[in-house]
Amino acid sequence: MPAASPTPEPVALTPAMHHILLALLQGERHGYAIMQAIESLTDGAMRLGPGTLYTSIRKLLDGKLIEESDERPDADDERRRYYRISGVGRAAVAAETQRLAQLVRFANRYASMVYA
Amino acid sequence: MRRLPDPAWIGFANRLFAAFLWLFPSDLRHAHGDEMRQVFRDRCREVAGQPARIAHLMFAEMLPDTVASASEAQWSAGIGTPGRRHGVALGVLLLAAGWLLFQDSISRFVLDWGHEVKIRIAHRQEVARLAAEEGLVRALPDALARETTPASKAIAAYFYRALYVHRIGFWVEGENVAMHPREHYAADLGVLVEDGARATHALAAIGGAEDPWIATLALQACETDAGCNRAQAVERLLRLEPDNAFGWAQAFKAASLAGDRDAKRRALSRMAAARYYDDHLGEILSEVFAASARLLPQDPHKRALVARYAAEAGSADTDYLQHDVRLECRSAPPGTRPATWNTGDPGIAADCLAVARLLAASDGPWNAYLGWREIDQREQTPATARALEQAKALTRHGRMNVGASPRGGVDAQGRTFWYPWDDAEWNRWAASWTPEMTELDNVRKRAGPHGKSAPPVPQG
Repeated sequence: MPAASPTPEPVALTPAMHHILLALLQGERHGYAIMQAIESLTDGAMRLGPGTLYTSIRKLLDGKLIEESDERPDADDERRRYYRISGVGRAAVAAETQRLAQLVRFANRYASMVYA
Repeated sequence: MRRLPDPAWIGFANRLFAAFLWLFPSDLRHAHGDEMRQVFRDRCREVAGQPARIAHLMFAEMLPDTVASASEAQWSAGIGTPGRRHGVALGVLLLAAGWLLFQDSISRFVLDWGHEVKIRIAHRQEVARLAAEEGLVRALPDALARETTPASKAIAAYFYRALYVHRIGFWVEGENVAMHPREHYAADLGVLVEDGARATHALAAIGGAEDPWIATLALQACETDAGCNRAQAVERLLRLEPDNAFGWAQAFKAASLAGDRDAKRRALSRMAAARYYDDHLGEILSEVFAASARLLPQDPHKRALVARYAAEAGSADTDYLQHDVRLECRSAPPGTRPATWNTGDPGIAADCLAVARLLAASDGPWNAYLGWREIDQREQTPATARALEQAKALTRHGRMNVGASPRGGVDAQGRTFWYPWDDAEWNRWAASWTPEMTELDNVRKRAGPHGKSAPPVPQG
Protein backbone atom coordinates (compact mmCIF):
# COMPACT_ATOMS: atom_id res chain seq x y z
CA MET A 1 0.00 0.00 0.00
CA PRO A 2 1.61 3.27 -1.02
CA ALA A 3 2.39 5.70 1.75
CA ALA A 4 -0.05 8.61 1.96
CA SER A 5 1.50 11.90 0.95
CA PRO A 6 1.93 14.19 3.93
CA THR A 7 -0.77 16.83 4.29
CA PRO A 8 0.75 20.25 3.56
CA GLU A 9 0.77 22.70 6.38
CA PRO A 10 -1.67 25.61 6.02
CA VAL A 11 0.05 28.50 4.31
CA ALA A 12 -0.62 32.16 5.20
CA LEU A 13 -1.01 33.99 1.91
CA THR A 14 1.00 37.14 1.43
CA PRO A 15 -0.35 39.68 -1.08
CA ALA A 16 2.27 38.49 -3.58
CA MET A 17 1.24 34.84 -3.19
CA HIS A 18 -2.42 35.76 -3.45
CA HIS A 19 -1.83 37.64 -6.68
CA ILE A 20 0.20 34.77 -8.12
CA LEU A 21 -2.68 32.40 -7.43
CA LEU A 22 -5.11 34.85 -9.02
CA ALA A 23 -2.88 35.05 -12.10
CA LEU A 24 -2.81 31.25 -12.34
CA LEU A 25 -6.60 31.00 -12.13
CA GLN A 26 -6.58 32.15 -15.75
CA GLY A 27 -4.35 29.26 -16.87
CA GLU A 28 -0.84 27.88 -16.73
CA ARG A 29 1.92 30.45 -16.89
CA HIS A 30 5.68 30.76 -16.58
CA GLY A 31 7.32 33.22 -14.21
CA TYR A 32 7.54 36.24 -16.50
CA ALA A 33 3.96 35.70 -17.69
CA ILE A 34 2.82 35.62 -14.06
CA MET A 35 4.64 38.91 -13.47
CA GLN A 36 2.94 40.50 -16.48
CA ALA A 37 -0.48 39.10 -15.56
CA ILE A 38 -0.25 40.59 -12.07
CA GLU A 39 0.73 43.97 -13.49
CA SER A 40 -2.23 43.82 -15.84
CA LEU A 41 -4.56 42.56 -13.11
CA THR A 42 -3.70 45.51 -10.89
CA ASP A 43 -3.49 48.15 -13.63
CA GLY A 44 0.21 48.51 -12.98
CA ALA A 45 -0.17 49.08 -9.23
CA MET A 46 1.75 45.89 -8.38
CA ARG A 47 4.87 44.62 -10.11
CA LEU A 48 6.77 41.73 -8.57
CA GLY A 49 10.52 41.53 -8.93
CA PRO A 50 12.21 38.18 -9.62
CA GLY A 51 13.20 37.77 -5.94
CA THR A 52 9.73 38.25 -4.53
CA LEU A 53 8.20 36.24 -7.37
CA TYR A 54 10.29 33.12 -6.86
CA THR A 55 10.41 33.18 -3.05
CA SER A 56 6.59 33.30 -3.24
CA ILE A 57 6.44 30.56 -5.89
CA ARG A 58 8.70 28.44 -3.71
CA LYS A 59 6.35 28.81 -0.75
CA LEU A 60 3.33 28.02 -2.91
CA LEU A 61 5.06 24.90 -4.25
CA ASP A 62 6.00 23.82 -0.73
CA GLY A 63 2.40 24.35 0.39
CA LYS A 64 1.11 22.39 -2.68
CA LEU A 65 -0.99 25.40 -3.70
CA ILE A 66 0.58 25.31 -7.13
CA GLU A 67 2.42 22.66 -9.07
CA GLU A 68 4.79 22.55 -11.95
CA SER A 69 3.23 21.68 -15.27
CA ASP A 70 4.84 19.33 -17.79
CA GLU A 71 3.05 20.79 -20.76
CA ARG A 72 4.60 23.48 -22.96
CA PRO A 73 3.13 25.54 -25.76
CA ASP A 74 4.91 24.34 -28.93
CA ALA A 75 6.64 27.57 -29.83
CA ASP A 76 7.66 28.58 -26.36
CA ASP A 77 11.09 28.46 -24.79
CA GLU A 78 11.70 24.96 -23.48
CA ARG A 79 13.83 26.25 -20.64
CA ARG A 80 10.88 28.00 -19.01
CA ARG A 81 8.97 26.22 -16.26
CA TYR A 82 5.21 26.52 -16.21
CA TYR A 83 3.05 26.51 -13.10
CA ARG A 84 -0.59 25.75 -12.55
CA ILE A 85 -2.87 26.19 -9.57
CA SER A 86 -3.85 23.06 -7.60
CA GLY A 87 -7.13 22.17 -5.93
CA VAL A 88 -5.65 23.26 -2.61
CA GLY A 89 -4.64 26.53 -4.24
CA ARG A 90 -8.15 27.13 -5.53
CA ALA A 91 -9.53 26.52 -2.06
CA ALA A 92 -6.96 28.92 -0.63
CA VAL A 93 -7.90 31.61 -3.14
CA ALA A 94 -11.58 31.16 -2.32
CA ALA A 95 -10.86 31.39 1.40
CA GLU A 96 -8.68 34.46 0.97
CA THR A 97 -11.28 36.11 -1.27
CA GLN A 98 -13.96 35.41 1.31
CA ARG A 99 -11.75 36.88 4.04
CA LEU A 100 -11.13 40.02 1.98
CA ALA A 101 -14.84 40.33 1.18
CA GLN A 102 -15.62 40.21 4.89
CA LEU A 103 -12.99 42.84 5.47
CA VAL A 104 -14.51 45.06 2.79
CA ARG A 105 -17.99 44.63 4.26
CA PHE A 106 -16.67 45.56 7.67
CA ALA A 107 -14.80 48.55 6.26
CA ASN A 108 -17.91 49.75 4.45
CA ARG A 109 -20.01 49.40 7.56
CA TYR A 110 -17.42 51.22 9.64
CA ALA A 111 -17.09 53.94 7.01
CA SER A 112 -20.87 54.43 6.92
CA MET A 113 -20.85 54.87 10.70
CA VAL A 114 -18.04 57.39 10.56
CA TYR A 115 -19.34 59.45 7.67
CA ALA A 116 -23.08 59.17 8.29
CA MET B 1 11.72 35.10 -36.31
CA ARG B 2 15.24 35.68 -35.00
CA ARG B 3 15.62 37.93 -32.01
CA LEU B 4 17.92 40.94 -32.34
CA PRO B 5 21.06 40.74 -30.18
CA ASP B 6 20.62 42.20 -26.70
CA PRO B 7 22.25 45.56 -25.89
CA ALA B 8 25.52 45.26 -23.97
CA TRP B 9 24.05 46.68 -20.78
CA ILE B 10 21.67 43.71 -20.49
CA GLY B 11 24.62 41.32 -20.26
CA PHE B 12 26.19 43.46 -17.56
CA ALA B 13 22.92 43.80 -15.63
CA ASN B 14 22.40 40.04 -15.77
CA ARG B 15 25.87 39.32 -14.44
CA LEU B 16 25.17 41.79 -11.62
CA PHE B 17 21.85 40.11 -10.88
CA ALA B 18 23.52 36.67 -10.93
CA ALA B 19 25.94 37.93 -8.28
CA PHE B 20 23.04 39.16 -6.15
CA LEU B 21 21.48 35.68 -6.34
CA TRP B 22 24.14 34.51 -3.89
CA LEU B 23 22.23 36.41 -1.21
CA PHE B 24 19.40 33.87 -1.49
CA PRO B 25 19.41 30.50 0.30
CA SER B 26 21.18 27.84 -1.75
CA ASP B 27 18.16 25.55 -2.13
CA LEU B 28 16.08 28.39 -3.61
CA ARG B 29 18.97 29.38 -5.82
CA HIS B 30 19.44 25.86 -7.12
CA ALA B 31 15.72 25.31 -7.68
CA HIS B 32 14.84 28.66 -9.27
CA GLY B 33 18.05 30.59 -9.93
CA ASP B 34 17.96 30.04 -13.70
CA GLU B 35 14.30 31.04 -13.85
CA MET B 36 14.97 34.19 -11.85
CA ARG B 37 17.73 35.18 -14.25
CA GLN B 38 15.43 34.45 -17.19
CA VAL B 39 12.67 36.64 -15.73
CA PHE B 40 15.13 39.43 -15.03
CA ARG B 41 16.48 39.20 -18.59
CA ASP B 42 12.92 39.36 -19.95
CA ARG B 43 12.26 42.44 -17.86
CA CYS B 44 15.48 44.06 -19.13
CA ARG B 45 14.40 43.41 -22.72
CA GLU B 46 11.03 44.96 -21.95
CA VAL B 47 12.59 48.26 -20.92
CA ALA B 48 15.49 48.27 -23.43
CA GLY B 49 15.51 51.49 -25.41
CA GLN B 50 13.96 53.54 -22.62
CA PRO B 51 16.91 54.89 -20.61
CA ALA B 52 14.79 56.34 -17.81
CA ARG B 53 13.11 52.98 -17.23
CA ILE B 54 16.44 51.15 -17.24
CA ALA B 55 17.63 53.23 -14.28
CA HIS B 56 14.26 52.64 -12.60
CA LEU B 57 14.52 48.90 -13.19
CA MET B 58 17.98 48.69 -11.67
CA PHE B 59 17.68 51.05 -8.73
CA ALA B 60 13.98 51.18 -7.89
CA GLU B 61 12.96 47.59 -8.73
CA MET B 62 15.79 45.10 -8.79
CA LEU B 63 17.87 46.30 -5.84
CA PRO B 64 15.06 46.79 -3.27
CA ASP B 65 13.28 43.63 -4.41
CA THR B 66 16.44 41.54 -4.16
CA VAL B 67 17.49 42.83 -0.76
CA ALA B 68 13.97 42.52 0.70
CA SER B 69 13.16 39.09 -0.73
CA ALA B 70 16.62 37.67 0.02
CA SER B 71 16.37 38.88 3.63
CA GLU B 72 12.94 37.35 3.97
CA ALA B 73 14.05 34.09 2.33
CA GLN B 74 17.07 33.82 4.61
CA TRP B 75 14.89 34.50 7.63
CA SER B 76 12.41 31.84 6.52
CA ALA B 77 15.24 29.34 5.95
CA GLY B 78 16.22 29.86 9.58
CA ILE B 79 19.53 31.07 10.96
CA GLY B 80 21.37 28.08 12.42
CA THR B 81 20.73 25.83 9.45
CA PRO B 82 23.27 25.51 6.60
CA GLY B 83 22.08 28.97 5.41
CA ARG B 84 23.53 30.62 8.48
CA ARG B 85 26.61 31.89 6.69
CA HIS B 86 24.40 33.64 4.19
CA GLY B 87 22.22 35.15 6.89
CA VAL B 88 25.21 36.53 8.71
CA ALA B 89 26.67 37.82 5.45
CA LEU B 90 23.38 39.48 4.58
CA GLY B 91 23.17 41.10 8.00
CA VAL B 92 26.70 42.44 7.68
CA LEU B 93 25.87 43.69 4.21
CA LEU B 94 22.74 45.49 5.37
CA LEU B 95 24.55 47.07 8.31
CA ALA B 96 27.36 48.20 6.02
CA ALA B 97 24.88 49.59 3.51
CA GLY B 98 23.03 51.46 6.26
CA TRP B 99 26.27 52.85 7.64
CA LEU B 100 27.39 54.01 4.20
CA LEU B 101 24.03 55.58 3.47
CA PHE B 102 24.34 57.85 6.47
CA GLN B 103 27.83 59.06 5.58
CA ASP B 104 27.18 62.58 4.30
CA SER B 105 30.02 62.62 1.83
CA ILE B 106 28.91 59.35 0.27
CA SER B 107 25.17 59.97 0.27
CA ARG B 108 25.71 63.45 -1.16
CA PHE B 109 27.90 62.01 -3.88
CA VAL B 110 25.31 59.32 -4.66
CA LEU B 111 22.45 61.83 -4.73
CA ASP B 112 24.40 64.26 -6.92
CA TRP B 113 25.37 61.46 -9.24
CA GLY B 114 21.81 60.20 -9.44
CA HIS B 115 20.53 63.70 -10.14
CA GLU B 116 23.07 64.28 -12.88
CA VAL B 117 22.24 60.95 -14.50
CA LYS B 118 18.56 61.83 -14.40
CA ILE B 119 19.19 65.26 -15.96
CA ARG B 120 21.46 63.82 -18.62
CA ILE B 121 18.92 61.22 -19.59
CA ALA B 122 16.16 63.84 -19.75
CA HIS B 123 18.34 66.13 -21.81
CA ARG B 124 19.32 63.37 -24.24
CA GLN B 125 15.68 62.50 -24.73
CA GLU B 126 14.94 66.17 -25.38
CA VAL B 127 17.81 66.42 -27.86
CA ALA B 128 16.51 63.37 -29.72
CA ARG B 129 13.00 64.86 -29.82
CA LEU B 130 14.42 68.15 -31.06
CA ALA B 131 16.44 66.45 -33.79
CA ALA B 132 13.34 64.60 -35.01
CA GLU B 133 11.33 67.83 -35.02
CA GLU B 134 14.07 69.71 -36.85
CA GLY B 135 14.16 66.96 -39.43
CA LEU B 136 10.48 67.57 -40.17
CA VAL B 137 10.93 71.35 -40.37
CA ARG B 138 14.01 70.98 -42.59
CA ALA B 139 11.78 69.41 -45.26
CA LEU B 140 10.72 72.92 -46.31
CA PRO B 141 14.14 74.58 -46.80
CA ASP B 142 15.49 71.39 -48.39
CA ALA B 143 12.73 71.52 -50.99
CA LEU B 144 13.12 75.28 -51.52
CA ALA B 145 16.89 75.04 -51.88
CA ARG B 146 16.37 72.75 -54.88
CA GLU B 147 14.34 75.45 -56.64
CA THR B 148 16.07 78.11 -58.73
CA THR B 149 14.38 81.43 -57.93
CA PRO B 150 16.10 83.93 -55.61
CA ALA B 151 12.98 84.03 -53.41
CA SER B 152 13.09 80.25 -52.85
CA LYS B 153 16.81 80.32 -52.12
CA ALA B 154 16.37 83.20 -49.68
CA ILE B 155 13.50 81.55 -47.82
CA ALA B 156 15.51 78.32 -47.63
CA ALA B 157 18.42 80.24 -46.13
CA TYR B 158 16.12 82.05 -43.70
CA PHE B 159 14.67 78.75 -42.54
CA TYR B 160 18.04 77.12 -42.03
CA ARG B 161 18.78 80.17 -39.91
CA ALA B 162 15.44 79.73 -38.10
CA LEU B 163 16.54 76.22 -37.12
CA TYR B 164 19.81 77.71 -35.91
CA VAL B 165 18.01 80.34 -33.82
CA HIS B 166 15.68 77.73 -32.34
CA ARG B 167 18.56 75.44 -31.40
CA ILE B 168 20.40 78.30 -29.69
CA GLY B 169 17.24 79.02 -27.69
CA PHE B 170 17.21 75.37 -26.69
CA TRP B 171 20.80 75.72 -25.50
CA VAL B 172 19.93 78.68 -23.35
CA GLU B 173 17.25 76.60 -21.67
CA GLY B 174 19.81 73.85 -21.22
CA GLU B 175 22.05 76.23 -19.32
CA ASN B 176 19.30 76.73 -16.77
CA VAL B 177 20.01 73.28 -15.43
CA ALA B 178 23.76 73.88 -15.37
CA MET B 179 24.32 71.63 -18.38
CA HIS B 180 26.41 73.60 -20.77
CA PRO B 181 25.72 71.96 -24.11
CA ARG B 182 29.15 72.73 -25.49
CA GLU B 183 30.45 70.45 -22.80
CA HIS B 184 27.89 67.69 -22.87
CA TYR B 185 26.38 67.75 -26.30
CA ALA B 186 29.17 68.72 -28.63
CA ALA B 187 27.30 66.97 -31.42
CA ASP B 188 24.88 69.92 -31.46
CA LEU B 189 27.66 72.15 -32.73
CA GLY B 190 27.81 70.05 -35.86
CA VAL B 191 24.08 70.57 -36.42
CA LEU B 192 24.49 74.33 -36.15
CA VAL B 193 27.49 74.45 -38.44
CA GLU B 194 25.64 72.34 -41.01
CA ASP B 195 22.55 74.56 -40.97
CA GLY B 196 24.72 77.70 -41.15
CA ALA B 197 26.59 76.24 -44.12
CA ARG B 198 23.34 75.24 -45.83
CA ALA B 199 22.05 78.81 -45.41
CA THR B 200 25.26 80.26 -46.80
CA HIS B 201 25.18 77.86 -49.73
CA ALA B 202 21.59 78.84 -50.54
CA LEU B 203 22.47 82.53 -50.28
CA ALA B 204 25.41 82.17 -52.66
CA ALA B 205 22.96 81.19 -55.41
CA ILE B 206 20.71 84.24 -54.99
CA GLY B 207 22.80 86.59 -57.10
CA GLY B 208 21.73 90.19 -57.48
CA ALA B 209 18.13 90.02 -56.27
CA GLU B 210 16.40 93.38 -56.46
CA ASP B 211 13.56 92.79 -54.01
CA PRO B 212 14.20 94.44 -50.64
CA TRP B 213 12.49 91.65 -48.72
CA ILE B 214 14.77 89.08 -50.36
CA ALA B 215 17.82 91.19 -49.56
CA THR B 216 16.53 91.52 -45.98
CA LEU B 217 16.13 87.75 -45.72
CA ALA B 218 19.56 87.21 -47.20
CA LEU B 219 21.05 89.50 -44.59
CA GLN B 220 19.23 87.87 -41.69
CA ALA B 221 20.20 84.39 -42.83
CA CYS B 222 23.84 85.34 -43.26
CA GLU B 223 25.93 83.60 -40.60
CA THR B 224 29.47 84.94 -40.46
CA ASP B 225 30.63 81.94 -38.44
CA ALA B 226 29.58 79.72 -41.34
CA GLY B 227 31.55 81.77 -43.86
CA CYS B 228 28.85 84.18 -45.08
CA ASN B 229 29.93 87.71 -45.99
CA ARG B 230 27.58 89.79 -43.83
CA ALA B 231 29.08 93.15 -44.84
CA GLN B 232 28.29 92.38 -48.46
CA ALA B 233 24.70 91.47 -47.53
CA VAL B 234 24.33 94.76 -45.62
CA GLU B 235 25.70 96.72 -48.60
CA ARG B 236 23.20 95.09 -50.94
CA LEU B 237 20.28 96.01 -48.69
CA LEU B 238 21.51 99.59 -48.28
CA ARG B 239 21.88 99.96 -52.04
CA LEU B 240 18.27 98.88 -52.52
CA GLU B 241 16.81 100.87 -49.60
CA PRO B 242 19.06 103.75 -48.54
CA ASP B 243 16.20 105.45 -46.68
CA ASN B 244 15.30 102.40 -44.56
CA ALA B 245 16.79 102.70 -41.08
CA PHE B 246 16.67 98.91 -40.75
CA GLY B 247 19.58 98.47 -43.15
CA TRP B 248 21.63 101.10 -41.33
CA ALA B 249 20.80 99.40 -38.03
CA GLN B 250 22.38 96.24 -39.45
CA ALA B 251 25.41 98.28 -40.56
CA PHE B 252 25.61 99.67 -37.02
CA LYS B 253 25.52 96.15 -35.59
CA ALA B 254 28.25 94.96 -37.95
CA ALA B 255 30.44 97.93 -37.01
CA SER B 256 29.82 97.34 -33.31
CA LEU B 257 30.72 93.67 -33.69
CA ALA B 258 33.93 94.68 -35.43
CA GLY B 259 34.69 97.26 -32.71
CA ASP B 260 34.82 100.05 -35.31
CA ARG B 261 33.57 103.12 -33.40
CA ASP B 262 33.80 105.51 -36.36
CA ALA B 263 31.76 103.19 -38.57
CA LYS B 264 29.20 102.89 -35.77
CA ARG B 265 28.91 106.64 -35.57
CA ARG B 266 28.46 106.96 -39.35
CA ALA B 267 25.80 104.24 -39.38
CA LEU B 268 23.95 105.93 -36.50
CA SER B 269 23.94 109.26 -38.37
CA ARG B 270 22.55 107.63 -41.51
CA MET B 271 19.95 105.79 -39.46
CA ALA B 272 18.87 109.05 -37.80
CA ALA B 273 18.53 110.66 -41.24
CA ALA B 274 16.52 107.75 -42.68
CA ARG B 275 12.80 108.13 -43.40
CA TYR B 276 11.39 104.87 -42.03
CA TYR B 277 12.20 101.60 -40.27
CA ASP B 278 10.89 98.47 -41.99
CA ASP B 279 12.11 94.94 -41.41
CA HIS B 280 9.72 93.52 -44.10
CA LEU B 281 8.34 91.01 -41.67
CA GLY B 282 4.89 90.84 -43.27
CA GLU B 283 6.29 90.11 -46.73
CA ILE B 284 8.81 87.62 -45.42
CA LEU B 285 6.36 85.59 -43.37
CA SER B 286 3.63 85.61 -45.98
CA GLU B 287 6.16 84.29 -48.53
CA VAL B 288 7.39 81.66 -46.07
CA PHE B 289 3.89 80.42 -45.33
CA ALA B 290 2.89 80.51 -48.99
CA ALA B 291 5.91 78.32 -49.79
CA SER B 292 4.99 76.02 -46.93
CA ALA B 293 1.42 75.65 -48.20
CA ARG B 294 2.68 75.03 -51.75
CA LEU B 295 5.34 72.44 -50.90
CA LEU B 296 3.73 70.68 -47.93
CA PRO B 297 0.04 70.68 -48.87
CA GLN B 298 -0.69 67.23 -47.45
CA ASP B 299 1.21 67.63 -44.23
CA PRO B 300 -0.46 69.97 -41.73
CA HIS B 301 1.84 68.88 -38.91
CA LYS B 302 4.95 69.95 -40.82
CA ARG B 303 3.29 73.23 -41.83
CA ALA B 304 2.39 73.90 -38.19
CA LEU B 305 5.99 73.24 -37.15
CA VAL B 306 7.19 75.61 -39.87
CA ALA B 307 4.85 78.31 -38.52
CA ARG B 308 6.03 77.79 -34.96
CA TYR B 309 9.71 77.91 -35.91
CA ALA B 310 9.10 81.05 -38.00
CA ALA B 311 7.36 82.71 -35.05
CA GLU B 312 10.24 81.83 -32.75
CA ALA B 313 12.86 83.07 -35.20
CA GLY B 314 10.86 86.23 -35.98
CA SER B 315 12.76 88.57 -38.18
CA ALA B 316 15.97 87.08 -36.74
CA ASP B 317 17.39 90.53 -36.09
CA THR B 318 17.68 89.86 -32.37
CA ASP B 319 21.02 88.13 -32.87
CA TYR B 320 24.01 89.87 -31.29
CA LEU B 321 21.49 91.86 -29.25
CA GLN B 322 24.16 93.55 -27.19
CA HIS B 323 25.34 95.26 -30.40
CA ASP B 324 21.86 96.37 -31.45
CA VAL B 325 21.31 100.10 -31.81
CA ARG B 326 17.99 99.83 -29.96
CA LEU B 327 19.88 98.80 -26.84
CA GLU B 328 23.12 100.67 -27.39
CA CYS B 329 21.21 103.95 -27.67
CA ARG B 330 19.29 103.34 -24.50
CA SER B 331 19.57 106.04 -21.83
CA ALA B 332 20.67 104.77 -18.47
CA PRO B 333 17.71 104.76 -16.04
CA PRO B 334 18.17 107.04 -13.01
CA GLY B 335 20.44 105.53 -10.38
CA THR B 336 22.16 103.08 -12.72
CA ARG B 337 25.56 103.16 -14.31
CA PRO B 338 25.33 105.09 -17.60
CA ALA B 339 25.94 103.26 -20.85
CA THR B 340 29.29 104.11 -22.40
CA TRP B 341 27.99 104.74 -25.92
CA ASN B 342 25.20 107.16 -25.15
CA THR B 343 26.83 109.58 -22.74
CA GLY B 344 28.85 112.71 -23.10
CA ASP B 345 28.28 113.27 -26.80
CA PRO B 346 25.33 115.53 -27.64
CA GLY B 347 25.51 114.47 -31.30
CA ILE B 348 25.09 110.80 -30.44
CA ALA B 349 22.28 111.59 -28.00
CA ALA B 350 20.44 113.60 -30.67
CA ASP B 351 20.85 110.87 -33.27
CA CYS B 352 19.70 108.24 -30.81
CA LEU B 353 16.57 110.28 -30.10
CA ALA B 354 15.91 110.55 -33.83
CA VAL B 355 16.31 106.79 -34.13
CA ALA B 356 13.88 106.35 -31.22
CA ARG B 357 11.29 108.47 -33.06
CA LEU B 358 11.67 106.29 -36.17
CA LEU B 359 11.23 103.16 -34.09
CA ALA B 360 8.21 104.64 -32.31
CA ALA B 361 6.57 105.19 -35.70
CA SER B 362 7.27 101.57 -36.77
CA ASP B 363 4.34 99.18 -37.15
CA GLY B 364 6.27 96.50 -35.28
CA PRO B 365 5.07 96.61 -31.67
CA TRP B 366 8.39 95.69 -30.13
CA ASN B 367 10.23 98.39 -32.10
CA ALA B 368 7.52 100.93 -31.24
CA TYR B 369 7.78 100.04 -27.56
CA LEU B 370 11.60 100.42 -27.54
CA GLY B 371 11.26 103.76 -29.35
CA TRP B 372 8.67 105.15 -26.94
CA ARG B 373 10.62 103.86 -23.96
CA GLU B 374 13.63 105.89 -25.05
CA ILE B 375 11.57 109.01 -25.82
CA ASP B 376 9.77 108.80 -22.49
CA GLN B 377 13.05 108.26 -20.65
CA ARG B 378 14.28 111.58 -22.03
CA GLU B 379 11.15 113.74 -22.14
CA GLN B 380 9.03 112.29 -19.32
CA THR B 381 5.78 114.04 -20.23
CA PRO B 382 2.25 112.70 -19.65
CA ALA B 383 1.90 112.25 -23.42
CA THR B 384 5.07 110.16 -23.76
CA ALA B 385 4.13 108.11 -20.69
CA ARG B 386 0.72 107.41 -22.20
CA ALA B 387 2.23 106.48 -25.56
CA LEU B 388 4.68 104.15 -23.83
CA GLU B 389 1.87 102.38 -21.97
CA GLN B 390 -0.08 101.92 -25.18
CA ALA B 391 2.99 100.58 -27.00
CA LYS B 392 3.72 98.23 -24.12
CA ALA B 393 0.19 96.86 -24.22
CA LEU B 394 0.53 96.23 -27.95
CA THR B 395 3.68 94.18 -27.52
CA ARG B 396 1.58 91.60 -25.68
CA HIS B 397 -0.84 91.28 -28.53
CA GLY B 398 1.41 91.65 -31.56
CA ARG B 399 1.02 88.90 -34.11
CA MET B 400 4.53 87.59 -33.52
CA ASN B 401 3.80 87.17 -29.84
CA VAL B 402 0.47 85.55 -30.36
CA GLY B 403 1.59 81.92 -30.20
CA ALA B 404 3.91 82.52 -27.30
CA SER B 405 1.56 84.58 -25.14
CA PRO B 406 0.21 83.02 -21.99
CA ARG B 407 -2.75 80.83 -22.76
CA GLY B 408 -3.37 79.49 -19.33
CA GLY B 409 -4.42 80.49 -15.90
CA VAL B 410 -4.83 79.08 -12.41
CA ASP B 411 -6.89 75.97 -11.80
CA ALA B 412 -9.16 75.21 -8.83
CA GLN B 413 -6.19 73.88 -6.84
CA GLY B 414 -4.22 77.09 -7.38
CA ARG B 415 -1.81 75.49 -9.86
CA THR B 416 -0.80 77.47 -12.89
CA PHE B 417 -1.26 75.74 -16.18
CA TRP B 418 -0.24 76.40 -19.74
CA TYR B 419 -1.30 75.05 -23.06
CA PRO B 420 0.42 75.74 -26.38
CA TRP B 421 -1.24 76.09 -29.75
CA ASP B 422 -2.09 72.91 -31.60
CA ASP B 423 -1.37 72.29 -35.29
CA ALA B 424 -4.72 73.69 -36.47
CA GLU B 425 -4.18 76.93 -34.54
CA TRP B 426 -0.67 77.41 -35.94
CA ASN B 427 -1.88 76.73 -39.47
CA ARG B 428 -4.71 79.25 -39.17
CA TRP B 429 -2.25 81.79 -37.86
CA ALA B 430 0.14 81.14 -40.77
CA ALA B 431 -2.67 81.35 -43.33
CA SER B 432 -3.76 84.74 -42.00
CA TRP B 433 -0.52 86.53 -42.98
CA THR B 434 -0.62 88.72 -46.09
CA PRO B 435 2.21 90.70 -47.70
CA GLU B 436 0.62 94.02 -46.73
CA MET B 437 0.04 93.02 -43.17
CA THR B 438 1.46 94.91 -40.25
CA GLU B 439 1.66 93.24 -36.92
CA LEU B 440 -0.94 95.26 -35.11
CA ASP B 441 -4.17 95.21 -36.96
CA ASN B 442 -5.98 92.06 -36.13
CA VAL B 443 -5.16 90.74 -32.72
CA ARG B 444 -7.78 91.12 -30.02
CA LYS B 445 -7.85 90.07 -26.42
CA ARG B 446 -9.73 86.98 -25.40
CA ALA B 447 -10.59 85.92 -21.89
CA GLY B 448 -8.70 82.80 -20.90
CA PRO B 449 -10.43 79.95 -19.11
CA HIS B 450 -9.71 81.43 -15.70
CA GLY B 451 -9.82 85.11 -16.37
CA LYS B 452 -6.36 85.78 -17.74
CA SER B 453 -6.33 87.38 -21.12
CA ALA B 454 -5.05 85.35 -24.01
CA PRO B 455 -4.68 86.25 -27.66
CA PRO B 456 -7.22 84.75 -30.03
CA VAL B 457 -6.46 82.39 -32.83
CA PRO B 458 -6.60 84.45 -36.02
CA GLN B 459 -9.35 83.27 -38.32
CA GLY B 460 -7.84 82.79 -41.76
